[in-house]
Amino acid sequence: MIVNATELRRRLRLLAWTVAALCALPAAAQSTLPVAPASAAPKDDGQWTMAEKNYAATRYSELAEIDTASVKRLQVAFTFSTGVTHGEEAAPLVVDNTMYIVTPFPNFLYALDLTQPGAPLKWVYKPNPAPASQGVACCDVVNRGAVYWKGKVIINTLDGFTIAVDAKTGKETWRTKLADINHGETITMSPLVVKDKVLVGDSGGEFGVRGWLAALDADSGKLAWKAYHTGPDADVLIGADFHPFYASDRGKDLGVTTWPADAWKIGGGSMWGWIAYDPDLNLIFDGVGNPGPWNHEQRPGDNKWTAGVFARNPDTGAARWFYQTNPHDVHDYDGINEIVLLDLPINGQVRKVLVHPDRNGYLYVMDRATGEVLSADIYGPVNSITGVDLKTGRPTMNPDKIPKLGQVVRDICPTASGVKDWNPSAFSPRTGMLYIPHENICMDWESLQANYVAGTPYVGANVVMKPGPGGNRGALTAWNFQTHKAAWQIKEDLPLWSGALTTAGDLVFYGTMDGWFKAVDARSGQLLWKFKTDSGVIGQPIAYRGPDGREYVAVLSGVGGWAGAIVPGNLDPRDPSGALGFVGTMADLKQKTTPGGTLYVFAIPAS
Amino acid sequence: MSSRFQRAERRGVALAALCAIGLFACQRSPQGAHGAAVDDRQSPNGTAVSTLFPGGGTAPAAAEEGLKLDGNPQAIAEGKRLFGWYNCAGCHFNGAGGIGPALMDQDWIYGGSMDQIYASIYQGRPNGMPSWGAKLSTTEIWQITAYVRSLSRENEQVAIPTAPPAPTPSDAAREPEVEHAVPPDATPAAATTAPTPDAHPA
Repeated sequence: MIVNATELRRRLRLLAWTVAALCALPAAAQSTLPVAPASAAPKDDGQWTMAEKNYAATRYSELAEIDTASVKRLQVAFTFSTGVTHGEEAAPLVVDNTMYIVTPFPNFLYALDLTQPGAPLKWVYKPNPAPASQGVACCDVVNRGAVYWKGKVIINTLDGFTIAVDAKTGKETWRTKLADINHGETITMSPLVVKDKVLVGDSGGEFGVRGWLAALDADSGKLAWKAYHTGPDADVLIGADFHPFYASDRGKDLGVTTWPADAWKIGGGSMWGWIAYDPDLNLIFDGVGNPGPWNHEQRPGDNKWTAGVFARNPDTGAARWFYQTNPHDVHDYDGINEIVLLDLPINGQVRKVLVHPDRNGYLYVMDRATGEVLSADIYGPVNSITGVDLKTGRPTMNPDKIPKLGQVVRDICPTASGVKDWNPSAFSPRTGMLYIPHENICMDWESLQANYVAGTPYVGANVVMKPGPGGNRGALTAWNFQTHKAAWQIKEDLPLWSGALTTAGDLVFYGTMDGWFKAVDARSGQLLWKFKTDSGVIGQPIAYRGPDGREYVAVLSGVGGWAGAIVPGNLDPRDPSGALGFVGTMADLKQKTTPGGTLYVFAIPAS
Repeated sequence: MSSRFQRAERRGVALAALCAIGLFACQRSPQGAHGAAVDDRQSPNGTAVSTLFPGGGTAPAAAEEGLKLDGNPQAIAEGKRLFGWYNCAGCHFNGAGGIGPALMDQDWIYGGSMDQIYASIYQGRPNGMPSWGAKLSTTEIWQITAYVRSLSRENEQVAIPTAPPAPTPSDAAREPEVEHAVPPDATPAAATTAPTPDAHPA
């Protein structure tokens, strides 16, 4: 048989691949990948009923029609203008062939009929929030999404209401006032419903609020329980069931004694981010925001129970454990980032963990039953914290990067908004990796004396942000839990302020602040497809199965949020301290995008 | 028709009565709440926020206090201090804006004259500007007004206590290891730019 050189090379390559694949097989079978617990991440029904996709917050769709090969044929199926041009941070929902989207203030709720060509409007619900609430919203007038529960769509409004709307008719079924704008409270988070209880927290960490998480009865809207994040144990719902892992979280009324007298009453600790739920342990997990004011010298002490993670019983609100990622936070490192529930093999043993990429730049892997930190690795540039002591659970602070009154402390990494902020990661069980959309920004910080005037900002800091090492302000990092390293990373010029989505087609979707919506290969990070939307993308992408059985991917476009406030707020780039310092590193954004508010839905055209 | 006239008439009578009470109150007590002399023109109610006067007309004459303090360095310096102390800077920062609008540009939603800025601070504005008339003295409001006016007029007066941002921080930050750096973002051949609305099912 005569074989030419090209053919020989081809055959040799084939042989090499076969050998490699055979060798890899047993190894792959042995090293099981992390998975989300089945009780918190049930089999995908092709819908999207909560912003996080499921209680484990994986943001993973089992749909695989759009994959690494077919994605290049992805096209716009339909669009819809929200009529609102502020930061569109929400995730669309899809239930019973209807799509629901909630806008930033004035918090319109739209229902679109997916069974009709072009997905026409079924109804719109307008809650008429108080316009004055815009004056106590720290970082644009955003809303992070609605939740569907038993025939109702439930939203929060900027002026502090939780409202249930009949999913079929668009008629309001109940509304409950939870927050008071005259004391700086607003609501921006996406509610979560657990066991017929709507879980809602407040925003206002920059306004001297006393933060809380509340549970409302999903049928009536009546308050079931409310847990404060500062103050006496009774108010925090700390009782006999409370068993924190670390000694520094044990003691009576730490929510009072770790503050100067009465400072806890205006000490922040809001809850404007994400909640996960483990049905097996019957525990919810939620992150708590920063203490206030930002000038930490006005509040010596650990400032419990701010800047950490709570585990609570969803029935009663009773706290099970607490872990403080940032005791006595000095950099505005809120603890509100996403919490993803995984069953993760560690040293040959499968552990029930939660993973939490914190604002402070450390990715925490914790035993979700006990609150023990199993590992804490940096996932972006950090110089403010040199490490996390796994014995005490406490971060080791770099003294050179602690702000001081009347001084400008320069080049603190990460910046106040963290290595990442609210915008959530996605997990793929097919790769076992967490895909983290994040920032690479540092800051100069001058502490000032903060003066508490109810209903006005309570901050006490002059901050100017700047790009981090390398100059790229954003990155998408694929995190490998086995190696404790980034498997790959895509550098982006602008901060990543959008959420991520993973699919069984081995794709990761995310958006950029100049308006690109991208799909990359989940294994390699290679860019496979991109589309330019009409404004910056900071929303949470989702995937769903349409009435025709095909896979669709949806995302809201519309720049804003804290990072993008310069555009919808028409801020002046000449003062870098604007928008709590973000203008300092976003002065060019007005040249790169303009305000918008449009839903984009993509599909592979029917052949 | 007649009942509408009657209502208007009643309103007129009520207004006259209110004015009379106001005058009487002024005569009885020439001092304002904070000890400053009361001047009708210092009340924001005499200020026109709009520049549209149906059929023609002009804005009311400017208040003397405003004319006096506009550009006054002392008032501006004191106003700057108050701007920080009452947390105006918490929303407007050093002029860029953030929660509230920018004050160093030439865009004024509710007017940029001394009287109009004064009125905005005194009354508040519906989209989030708090009403300060009951919290601050008229003198303090005029001083803050002078500072706010100065922001848009002379940008060089804006003192930024921190240096302009450097491209990269001087202090080395620890960075995570990356096993595989993804090649630079290249435009894929199949990138779509035009919507194809017919892709949606019928």
